[in-house]
Amino acid sequence: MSRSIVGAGCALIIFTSSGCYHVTSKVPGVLDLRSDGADSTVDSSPLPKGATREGFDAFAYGAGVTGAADVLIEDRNHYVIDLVPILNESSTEEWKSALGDGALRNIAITEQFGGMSVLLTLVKSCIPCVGGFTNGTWDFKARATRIQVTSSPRDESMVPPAATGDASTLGY
Amino acid sequence: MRPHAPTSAENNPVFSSIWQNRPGHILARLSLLGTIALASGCFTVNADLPGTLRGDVASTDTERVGTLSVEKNHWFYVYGLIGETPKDFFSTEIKKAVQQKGADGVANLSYQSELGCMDLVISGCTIGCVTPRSYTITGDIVRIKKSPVPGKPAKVATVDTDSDAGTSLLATDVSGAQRF
Repeated sequence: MSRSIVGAGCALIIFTSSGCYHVTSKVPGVLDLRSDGADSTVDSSPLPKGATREGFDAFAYGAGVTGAADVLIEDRNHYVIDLVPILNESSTEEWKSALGDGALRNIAITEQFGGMSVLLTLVKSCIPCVGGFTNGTWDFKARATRIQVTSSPRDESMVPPAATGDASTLGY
Repeated sequence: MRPHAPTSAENNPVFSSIWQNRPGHILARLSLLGTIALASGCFTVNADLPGTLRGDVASTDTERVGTLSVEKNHWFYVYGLIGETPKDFFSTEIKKAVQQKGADGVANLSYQSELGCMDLVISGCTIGCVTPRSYTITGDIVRIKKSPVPGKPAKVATVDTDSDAGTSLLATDVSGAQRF
């Protein structure tokens, strides 16, 4: 009896301390606030091979990166008892595929527990043994517009900030 | 066979139309509700990040001047179906922190979201009617040596030290001293 109480207590502590449906997305590159990239040329070149997932992979792990200039990043996360992320834990690879050596503007994070997540959760709950342990699914999504990197004409002559150490020259 | 006497509930026109005469409509309505729920999604975040994300800037092109930590809570309702985040959910705090440091941007940006301890307690107590979710944005505030791409700067008009309700903004110097 006391063992079950201790076990339940431990489970409760783990459950409440770690948080459910924990989504982590490490974004590569540098977020540059000096420019919104509105005057930059849109990059419509093809995405790297393997950036877009298809078939069962797209169903299980999300579609990856889709689109040409306007890209949508979709990464599907799976959890054990809603707590421990398994399979496809981070969306960093998808970000890297979309970003490459170029730049992204109009970036928006559009995470949601969407229709596919609901369906997958229901489907998994029907599978014997698996249903009791692997039940959660959550979609991390982001959308952005790919742009070509060209230096701003007005800033070509700008002295690098590190050389001056003066915040007033940083474009604000 | 003698028909049974109608009960008061069966005499109710609303009850009668819903539960007796048109049982198919109930299924149709439930299906419609389910379809709306599936299509719209729960716990929807739709938040912009300011500026441009650049893949051509190497770590040697940046100078770290501090760290960024933005912690926010957002309240969703009816199992997360209602309560989409505003567009500037993260951008205002990121802009404030970078501008206060006189910096240019954020490197090593990390986005996290979870149903935390208190969120679960509140959700449990309200049977899912009110479900908060916690969000954290962290990174290094940096100055960038490379020129910006053509466009307008993403900046806030005024910088104040007050934080919004449910928001925690912490920007620290490289030395670890808190600025605000």
